[in-house]
Amino acid sequence: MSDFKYYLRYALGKLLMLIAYIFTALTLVFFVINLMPGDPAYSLAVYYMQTYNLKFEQALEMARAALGYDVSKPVHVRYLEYLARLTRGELGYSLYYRKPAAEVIALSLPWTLLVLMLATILSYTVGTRLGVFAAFKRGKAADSVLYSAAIVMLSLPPFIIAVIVLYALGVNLKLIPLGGAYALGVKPGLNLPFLLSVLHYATGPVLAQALVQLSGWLLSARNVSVTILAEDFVKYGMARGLKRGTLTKKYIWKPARLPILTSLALSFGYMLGGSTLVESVFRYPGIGQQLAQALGSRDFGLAISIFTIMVVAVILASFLIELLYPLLDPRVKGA
Amino acid sequence: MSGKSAPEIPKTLTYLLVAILVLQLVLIGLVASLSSSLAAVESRLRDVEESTGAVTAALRDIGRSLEALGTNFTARIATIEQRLKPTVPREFRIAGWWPWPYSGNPYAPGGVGVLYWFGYETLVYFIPGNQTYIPRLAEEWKLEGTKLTIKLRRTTWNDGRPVTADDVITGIYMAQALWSWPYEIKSATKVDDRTVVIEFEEPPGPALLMSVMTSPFVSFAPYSVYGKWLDRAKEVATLGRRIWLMQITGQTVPEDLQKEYNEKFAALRDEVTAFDSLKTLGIVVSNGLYYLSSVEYDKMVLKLNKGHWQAGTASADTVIVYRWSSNEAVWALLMAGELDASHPATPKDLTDQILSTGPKMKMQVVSDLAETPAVVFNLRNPLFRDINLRKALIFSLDKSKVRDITFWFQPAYEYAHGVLLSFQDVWLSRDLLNRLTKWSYDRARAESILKAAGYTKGSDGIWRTPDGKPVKFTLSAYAPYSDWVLAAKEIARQWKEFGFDVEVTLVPEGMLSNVEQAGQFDATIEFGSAWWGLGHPYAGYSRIYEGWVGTISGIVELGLNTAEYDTPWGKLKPLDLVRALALEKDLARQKEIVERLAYITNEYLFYLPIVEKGLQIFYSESRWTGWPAPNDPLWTLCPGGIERVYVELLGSGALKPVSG
Repeated sequence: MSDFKYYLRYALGKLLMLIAYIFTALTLVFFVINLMPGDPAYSLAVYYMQTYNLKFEQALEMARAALGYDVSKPVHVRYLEYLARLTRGELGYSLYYRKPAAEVIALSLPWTLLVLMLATILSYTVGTRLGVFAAFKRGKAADSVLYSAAIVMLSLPPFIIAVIVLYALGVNLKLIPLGGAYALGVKPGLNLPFLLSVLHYATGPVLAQALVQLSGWLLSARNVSVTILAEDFVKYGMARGLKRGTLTKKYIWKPARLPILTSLALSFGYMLGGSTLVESVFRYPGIGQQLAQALGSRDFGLAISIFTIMVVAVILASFLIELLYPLLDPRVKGA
Repeated sequence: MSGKSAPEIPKTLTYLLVAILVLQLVLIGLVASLSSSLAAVESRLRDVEESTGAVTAALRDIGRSLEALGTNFTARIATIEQRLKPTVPREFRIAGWWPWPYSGNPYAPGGVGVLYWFGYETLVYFIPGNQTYIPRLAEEWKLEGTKLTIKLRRTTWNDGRPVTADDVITGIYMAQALWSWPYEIKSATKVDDRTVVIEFEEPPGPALLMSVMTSPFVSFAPYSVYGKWLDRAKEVATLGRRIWLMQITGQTVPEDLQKEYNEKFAALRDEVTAFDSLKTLGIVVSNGLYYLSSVEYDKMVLKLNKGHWQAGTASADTVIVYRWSSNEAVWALLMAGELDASHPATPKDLTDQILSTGPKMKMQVVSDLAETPAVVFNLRNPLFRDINLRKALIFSLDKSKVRDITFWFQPAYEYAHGVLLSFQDVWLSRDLLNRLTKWSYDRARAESILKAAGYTKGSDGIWRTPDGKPVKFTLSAYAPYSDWVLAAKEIARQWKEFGFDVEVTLVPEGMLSNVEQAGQFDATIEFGSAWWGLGHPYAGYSRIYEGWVGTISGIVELGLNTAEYDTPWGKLKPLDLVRALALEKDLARQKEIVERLAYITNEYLFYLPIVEKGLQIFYSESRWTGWPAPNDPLWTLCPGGIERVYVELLGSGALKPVSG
């Protein structure tokens, strides 16, 4: 069988798996969200009760009226409606904002993607290089310091790191802005001041997200590299007097990148999950904040839509990496 | 020569006479000439005098001109100096919240966020601290029976249109149609552009009157924007009121009427709530001191409404609001000096850190008009029906320890009378307080009460009821409210230590109301007496005896609010007193009723209040001075809308920018 035919079969198989994964994940998302306890009208009712000094029943009636929430539709009917909408390429409807969920998500998703993209590039680039460096220095002081620091960072949740970054670099050293997406007075658009401001304001959230991920990359790159460094072909290369750069590039990095690459999609999903709290610390207009708001106000339509986007994004990222596998490693073909 | 001749005039004399004559003639000529010269001189002198006057006048004019020039020059120099000076801040910075995406529609479920008080005028502000009103949109008002006549101020919307009676009327009917409130208003009619008459179903009590006067709902619907829905709003409001009147009088609502209402209401609601003011009009039309200039997720910029009646005295022309996404974010902004004021609930260590940022950073504590944490019992549970157990529970609890981990800056309660501690001196006399039982921490007393009531302590250290059952119950706390969870754990720890078998259970997010309303708890951490919206004890007692506390605790269901209780004034029913308080207009008589309710509430212990919720307001004098003194009653306007205090301080010019 030709390589191309093999690849096509491989890709098709993965595509079928992808569809199955997505269907299962979306079904789970729908039922988990819908089985969440609580009535969307209750939190709004409490607000009305306190604002207008009403009795709760009256406030609840007002809230239900304002939301127009139909509690009478059975959950399976709503599920079928949800799937039907998705096949038409539509997301849900936000009861809270009285807008299609896609419209709400479109305002937030680009900001999160920007932060995650920058954090991934930064953490992957720096983390893997530091990992290989630590492997070369195995057992020495530099390795111990990097290893210990990575273990400590990895054990801290992104929220705590976000708070530390905000107070250390923002409040005390005044190196990064104290939150927001761009400076007051900067006109949004395709202009240099805006783009620079966006990058400057993204520093905090990017650092908070990247520091945890960087530690993960560092540890996995170090472990893989340590194993590879013990291989005969590397020893042979060393005996030939190859420089460290050449060894890293040609002997270590090639076999090491595959297992590391697998973690890339998972890391994306992990960061997406942690974005809610990081964004709340930095007042960042991302999808995490929107999801927290949607869950707090029991805006099921919006919450399901955001989860749908998140789940599909992570599964798609995994799928793309799996498609890359046979191109990067011919051994996959044999398997 | 001889001979005798006539006597001759001597020639000398002749010459002399001629000389005299000539001299006289010369003199006459001279005098005439001199006289003429003198006249000429006089005339010249007169001319000169005139000329001198003109010169003087001219000089005076020149002087004046120079003076004017000087003044002008000084003014110009002052202006230039002013320009060269460091900029005086006219920007006031706070933190707040708003929905995102932002529609600018007050009727949308998410509302308008922090613009609520900045952008929309209420008829009046009510200051609970001294029970006085500050007129806002209502310049004058008069209540005669069921009619409330309101004279509106001359002021404008931010689009330049004057605020008129039509706007207020639209606001009232839109609220009735979309919120089913306030149905007690029968009609709202225009007398002239600045006069509205609101007619109530019955003469309104202070509670209803206060709700109507202090809510900005009268400003939510500028006629120019929402007028297109007014007729439909009136129709829906009329149908809704008919149904409401039938319901409160015990009549059955005809199905067709209900159906008609449901359909018309839903259609109007869907249309109005989907209205996006920013997208449709490009602006949010509002009549408050500040209007929305721009909004993003993380910041909102408000500008001074130039047509507002306080625009002339307002000290800030811009208000910048940073998003309150988390307390961590607000603390960081405070520590960095980015905010002029904010009110995050802050633990003691962080409070010290914020205050240590400089001597100009201050903190003011004001009541948040509610008791919390408070323990509300489910009185349907026979265990809690025994007042002796309730007494033992409160005596065995060191409330100051609970205070320390929640509102550490507030004093713990000694009484349980339902009047907020910060208003105790306003509403209760010393005489009454002397009559009330003080529920101070006293475990020996708790033990003796239990023993006297037949309770015994088992070998396991757990108290048993007189019929031998262990005193075992759960204490619920709403999981997302970390202060309630901490309080519940501390209370349970203390009660366990005393010999009650108590477990803490957490109520998941979004489930609090469901769990409590269904009575699925033994005892729960809640707000006790709460004066939200009114700042009046009526609100607190209404909550206890007919509102939320009354409902969840079973006070209403078990008829404990209509039962008679022994008091120094004879047997009294709390619900009767609450209803009387709602209608009473005389302050002295209100105080009498409040004292009776305070007595029943304190002595019969339907719930256990522990501390009064306080607001910590941090404010900085770095950029703004003129903050109210700590005992200024204006601070009591903070709960439920701290922005009103900012509006009042900025609008009146009391807050002044610190000059460079």
